[in-house]
Amino acid sequence: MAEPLLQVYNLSKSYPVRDQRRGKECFQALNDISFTVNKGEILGLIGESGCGKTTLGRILCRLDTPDDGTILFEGVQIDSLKEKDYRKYRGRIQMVFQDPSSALNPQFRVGEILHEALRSAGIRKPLAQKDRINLLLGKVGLTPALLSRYPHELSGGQKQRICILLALLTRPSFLVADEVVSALDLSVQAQILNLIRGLQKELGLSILFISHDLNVIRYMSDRVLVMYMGEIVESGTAEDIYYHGAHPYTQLLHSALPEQHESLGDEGITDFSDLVLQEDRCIFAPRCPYCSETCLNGKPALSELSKDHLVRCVRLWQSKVEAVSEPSR
Amino acid sequence: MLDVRNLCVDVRLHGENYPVLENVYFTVQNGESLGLVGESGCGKSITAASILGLLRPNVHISRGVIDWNGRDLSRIRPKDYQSLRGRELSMIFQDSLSSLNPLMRVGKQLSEAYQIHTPLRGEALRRACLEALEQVGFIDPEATMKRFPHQLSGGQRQRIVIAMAIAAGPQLLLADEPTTALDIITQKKILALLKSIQKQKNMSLVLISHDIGIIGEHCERVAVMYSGWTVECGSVDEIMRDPLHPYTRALIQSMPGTHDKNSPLPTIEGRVPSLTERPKRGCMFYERCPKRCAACRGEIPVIRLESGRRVKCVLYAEGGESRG
Repeated sequence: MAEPLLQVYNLSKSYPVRDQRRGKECFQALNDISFTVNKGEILGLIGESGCGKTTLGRILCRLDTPDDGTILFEGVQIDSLKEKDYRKYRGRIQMVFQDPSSALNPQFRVGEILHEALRSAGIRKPLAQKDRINLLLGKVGLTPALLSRYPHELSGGQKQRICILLALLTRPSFLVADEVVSALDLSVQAQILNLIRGLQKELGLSILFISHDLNVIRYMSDRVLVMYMGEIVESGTAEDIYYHGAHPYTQLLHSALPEQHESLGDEGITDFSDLVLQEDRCIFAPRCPYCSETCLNGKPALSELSKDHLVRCVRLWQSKVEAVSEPSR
Repeated sequence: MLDVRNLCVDVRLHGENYPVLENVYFTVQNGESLGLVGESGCGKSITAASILGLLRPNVHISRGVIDWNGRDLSRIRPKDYQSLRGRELSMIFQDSLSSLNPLMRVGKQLSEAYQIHTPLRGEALRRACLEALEQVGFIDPEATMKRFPHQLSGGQRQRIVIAMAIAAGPQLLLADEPTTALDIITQKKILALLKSIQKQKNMSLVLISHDIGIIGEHCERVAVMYSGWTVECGSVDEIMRDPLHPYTRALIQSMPGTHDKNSPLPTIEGRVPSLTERPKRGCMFYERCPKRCAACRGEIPVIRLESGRRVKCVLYAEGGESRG
């Protein structure tokens, strides 16, 4: 059976923002997020920019601290560990960033970047470093000749391969892949997606795969979380989310795919900064085509539509069957 | 209306001339939308820059014709371009943030576009700006006029840029990756907006993108570019349904779409050759082509098919190998 590797409970994070009109306020980047990543699983995370995807990834890698919540990694609560005690987990949880160009120091040769990463991870013997790098170079489909080049001499795809290699150096069991293909051409995107899937199988990695592209998410993930303004609005298997998305937001994402020849209802122009968060209503209500009185009076809970398919929408409590059989807009 | 024929563009690097574009061809009819698609480095943006006369000093048109309503744009003086740019030809760039002046309110920038190209002044100018903002989808144009670019979202900024680009009612709008930096939902809305404006004003649109899925949905005709060549050109329906050139086919197949999860995505091996690595003779796609043969090392003809479709590949030459 599926064995949990990473468990997240009630994670919240807010950033202070100063607003001239309203005085000092907080922007709730993550609100009460709970989920589990199983061993050897790719969990997809989809949502628009600004919804908190990257914040979540950063917190999991301890690049940011949560306000509230618990993170268990292999059963150990890692969010409360001291820096010294966390050290042995740092290498186990790694992140690949969106923009490979800015993730690599332009003044260092690729080889120097890799050796430095290993040094800081505590592997100091030059021979051991070399072995590890050479082993992984083949796995990510690169030749040793690249080690003496500077990042700007590499193509976008090669740079992203180096970034993946960099993340794998410390032999992690959990990888956060944050929009790793959004800066790449379609044909290169396919190569990198294949590479990540291959590595995941070969090394038994668990991956949180973050993307805004539902097609990519469906192809890559086993299960998917749909996030909207810091909340999980739907979660389920990749097929459930892609073909039977039940939350109006998931349906909106689906209808935005290029091959869906339908026009989007124009709900006006959304400006995230103008949407004042209210505790007691559905977070999607201002954009929702089905918004009703109930949605404005009380926040819907994440409830089970079918096995492992959770949705945060009142319409589904009211008439489960109708909502599911209805085609996506 | 716009007819680009055998356009060749050279770039001078380290004292040597390298061809960037070789015999690029496509046509755009009145009120039609054409998609220019290809990987980065294939010459899409250079093509757009050549049409608008915005080439850098070390880049120049060496051969070919850019026929715009009977005038050859490759030969006119820079000064003559001023009456064309904005009024007849207009362009939208990828990054909306760097297209707008961060120190100027949106309203002022938009009215500047009108002041340069139209006789509107004073109250009439203001009204025109408000109408333009409303047309591109702003609910509260008055308030938007007072905003600075950084106070708007990426999608909103791109809408402002569109409003500025169409201020003088151009006949042709070139949009260079207008939605690449945007979210998928915003992307669809911006493209829908461009299409509706295009229909309404009977304007022609050249949409440049690396995503053939987007082109497939929003354009009527498409020109596929690879390494400075137009490899295939024709109606979107035909090309999406039955791509002829091996590159077009590979490009379409590499979209994850509804591809079976249990098999790897088809990819194109290797990468686009850089300017200095391009083959001196024969097909540009040779190194990466799954169907390459001896004939690919020679002259590659442009084959015209009955439907007006053109493909640059020896596979379809007479006496060549049949399709499969």
